[in-house]
Amino acid sequence: METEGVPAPGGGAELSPADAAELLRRHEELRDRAASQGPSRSFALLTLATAVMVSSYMAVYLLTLRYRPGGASTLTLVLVIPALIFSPLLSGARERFAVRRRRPGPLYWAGNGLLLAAFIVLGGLSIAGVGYPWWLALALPGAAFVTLASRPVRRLLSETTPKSERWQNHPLTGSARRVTVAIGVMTGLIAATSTWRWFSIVFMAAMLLLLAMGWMPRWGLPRTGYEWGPIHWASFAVVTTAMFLLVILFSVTAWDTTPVSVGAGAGVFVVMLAVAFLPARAQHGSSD
Amino acid sequence: MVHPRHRLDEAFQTPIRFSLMAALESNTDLDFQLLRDLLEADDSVLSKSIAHLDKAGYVRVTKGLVGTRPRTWVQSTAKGHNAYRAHLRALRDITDGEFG
Repeated sequence: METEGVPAPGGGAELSPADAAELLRRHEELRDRAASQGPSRSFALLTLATAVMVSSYMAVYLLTLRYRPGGASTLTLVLVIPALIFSPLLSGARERFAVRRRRPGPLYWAGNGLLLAAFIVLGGLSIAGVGYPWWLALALPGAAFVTLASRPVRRLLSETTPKSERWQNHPLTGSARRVTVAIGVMTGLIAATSTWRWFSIVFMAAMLLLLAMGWMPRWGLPRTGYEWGPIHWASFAVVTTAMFLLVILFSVTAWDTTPVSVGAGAGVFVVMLAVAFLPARAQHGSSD
Repeated sequence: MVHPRHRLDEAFQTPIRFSLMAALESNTDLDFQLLRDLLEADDSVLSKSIAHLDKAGYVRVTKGLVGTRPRTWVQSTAKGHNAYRAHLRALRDITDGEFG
């Protein structure tokens, strides 16, 4: 066991070449041991899920504005709710991992800033009724996906998952279960009422609920994200996909009717309600 | 020619602080408990080392909450990374005998 007070071999002033070589050897050993610790494949999967979420949101938003400029404002609000729920959930899930990839440097953020600016410009063009090549609405989210997903994909392809590191499902605590059901209620209501005239009231209520439970660390969305296992994240992915598909469907077809929206809302609610009570028992040998 | 030992950084001249910076070399945030295991150090020794490097501006400490339990993350700063790289260069120069 190492101690803080004892100087390194040689202690600086009397450091011999052999002492310096020993320190360099120790540096290599520690660096390699730390590098072998992660970030884990589960963390890479979570980062990849973020890439999918962001790029999907961009694609659906741009396509909705493009194909349904007149009725796009309500439909784009439907997209906002899962995206706003995802962010604090993700923040909580990141706390599971003992090794986290540090937030990238200025070059990465500059690239993402450019993509965001292009996204805003394309959205603005659609709102202003100015046309642009259709493929741009897909190329831009594609570029965002490549930027965000390249590192986690490399990690997933290059590493296997040690058994001790597998992210497994556990029964949720009472508070996480209630928040999971609340997510189902919120997303279900948003989907169900998306075709109704007073949708904006439901949306405002959902926003208030999100503000109330959004960032409460002890029982809110971050805590729930921390507790969620793969099955809960997969269910949330299903719910988000369903809502995004609903928006696309309503944008490009005339199926934006109450039975379709209520059916979708009920489906979304049932998925989150069911998964809130899964798994019934903890899996054996589970660990982060 | 100035002897490279003069370029050694005092902040890294205890084994634990030196090892801590080595562990933080990869572009990651490391959890306190993981660092403790990696460095085979006890909590108080590691805390003192982190506090010393934090005061020097060489590491950044982030507090998080896991459920109801606090969690501490440590990462090296750009200043710490550069200082540590300079320290390693001085060690290499000493090893290579490049001081006239």
